[in-house]
Amino acid sequence: MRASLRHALGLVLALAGAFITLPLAAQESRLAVRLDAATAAAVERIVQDARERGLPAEPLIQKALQGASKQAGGDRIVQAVRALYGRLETAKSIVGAGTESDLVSVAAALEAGATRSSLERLRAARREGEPFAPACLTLAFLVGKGVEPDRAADVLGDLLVARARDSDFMLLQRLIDADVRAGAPPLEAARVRARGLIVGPVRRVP
Amino acid sequence: MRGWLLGLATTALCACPALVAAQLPVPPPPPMPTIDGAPFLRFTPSLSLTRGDAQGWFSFEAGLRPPQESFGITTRVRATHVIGSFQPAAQLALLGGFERDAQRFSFHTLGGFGTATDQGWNVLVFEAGARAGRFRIDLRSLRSVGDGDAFGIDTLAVQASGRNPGPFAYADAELQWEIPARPFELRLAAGARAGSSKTRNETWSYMSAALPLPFWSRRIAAVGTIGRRPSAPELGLAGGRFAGLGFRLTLNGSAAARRDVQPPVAADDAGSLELNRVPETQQYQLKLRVTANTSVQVRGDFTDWTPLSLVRAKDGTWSTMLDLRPGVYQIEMRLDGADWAVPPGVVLVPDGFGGQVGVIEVR
Repeated sequence: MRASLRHALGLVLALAGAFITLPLAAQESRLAVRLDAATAAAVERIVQDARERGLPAEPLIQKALQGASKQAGGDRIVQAVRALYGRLETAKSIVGAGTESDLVSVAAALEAGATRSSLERLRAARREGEPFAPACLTLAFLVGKGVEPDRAADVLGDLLVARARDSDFMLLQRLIDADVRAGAPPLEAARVRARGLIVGPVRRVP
Repeated sequence: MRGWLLGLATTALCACPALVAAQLPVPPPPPMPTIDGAPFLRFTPSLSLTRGDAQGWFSFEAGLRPPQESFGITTRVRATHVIGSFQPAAQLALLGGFERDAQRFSFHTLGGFGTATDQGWNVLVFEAGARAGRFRIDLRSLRSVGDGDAFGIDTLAVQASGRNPGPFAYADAELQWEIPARPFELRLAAGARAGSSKTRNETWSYMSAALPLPFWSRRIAAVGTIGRRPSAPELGLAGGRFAGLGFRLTLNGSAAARRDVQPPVAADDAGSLELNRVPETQQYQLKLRVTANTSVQVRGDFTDWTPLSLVRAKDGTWSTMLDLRPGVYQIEMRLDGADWAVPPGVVLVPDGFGGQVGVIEVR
């Protein structure tokens, strides 16, 4: 009786272990299928390290898969994954306890050329609990257009203070994009369009 | 008389803050960074020929105006200096009022005090104007006050010249039509003056063409003007046929002046990407409006970077359904089997592999 109980308990634990490790195994299989063994192992080590430090693992795996899809060499893939790991670490130090979207968007902004100080300015203007990703991605957008990061952060900080919605940031990007394609300087376009949004649809009645 | 009715109406508007306040939007709680005025500056040196006399003009206007697309208080300092008439004439006016400046519509009303230092006339000025699309109307009322001896300057010489009419008052109305003729800014203007007993009625018309110069964000424009202009008794200048050439420097000008630098959003000819959530599901419809003949594919974080083909709809767009949870995703597209590229209208970031990738947020 006691032996059968032990047997049943062992079976339950084994099943539980299998269920717990199944997602991890699935991820590892994605890497194993698309990367050579050495590269997959190197990426897995970075991914495991990220998990232990509370960083999102999926973006790192996706970065490796992206590299594979672009037929990048193993070293290049590991280098790109490691660089993303570093940006996610920086993002966490800036955002603190943010969502995965917040961390990924901050990492994207850093990749686009945003500085730590510009992101910290943006974070300071953000209200607690509000999503950070739209402002960060718009910062990345502006920096990508050649706007100096701190100046871009000032413009977007004003929008955050005025309680801009996610859709306002998306609209801002479209407006600036159209202005820039028509020949306007990006920073000037950002300032004018942000001002228009602040006194227009963004303005909230308490 | 009509001019003074206009002046009175303008004064009443300026003096009735309750009426104006009723039109102001309700401010939100803390801080609104744009209640500050936006500084602007316009400087126009030009050379003008009137009846064989050459006159140099320096016109300067600066002040604070409400931010674009908003309504608020505007203040201006306006200075004009004329060289080459029978004696130099300068006018300085301090104006204040209300203004709304938007891309398609604007209006302003201003009142203030000016002094023509060399002519000796102090003047009260009231102005109102509105622009709708390509038409603009400006109303201006001006009246001399005092004995015309501002700053103690002897005005006998001025009066002896015969060009100074003595105390005066007049009201002008001018209609302008902006003609689309890129890269020029063409304007046709016609106006009429209702003068007091000392100032005769006048009509005038002129055409101006400005060519924004292709540097410094087109803030400098060459301006040519020809036609008939009204007299300026406050400056001791006679009216008549004239031709002028000058330059205009504008910093943070009106919405109309900014249109060349920051035009309104046009139709996006580069294509677009839409991501629309199917109500009450985790499914999103990804729709691409791009030019492709045979195939459109996307790949990204949401496909583990494997290609996914889109289906062409009757309206020419390409779409597919995606199971997504909220997050930030990277995306690329491929048209007709060509190289992978970033879809239009998304944020670009370096991909870490020497190229770029698009970033979208799913909410």
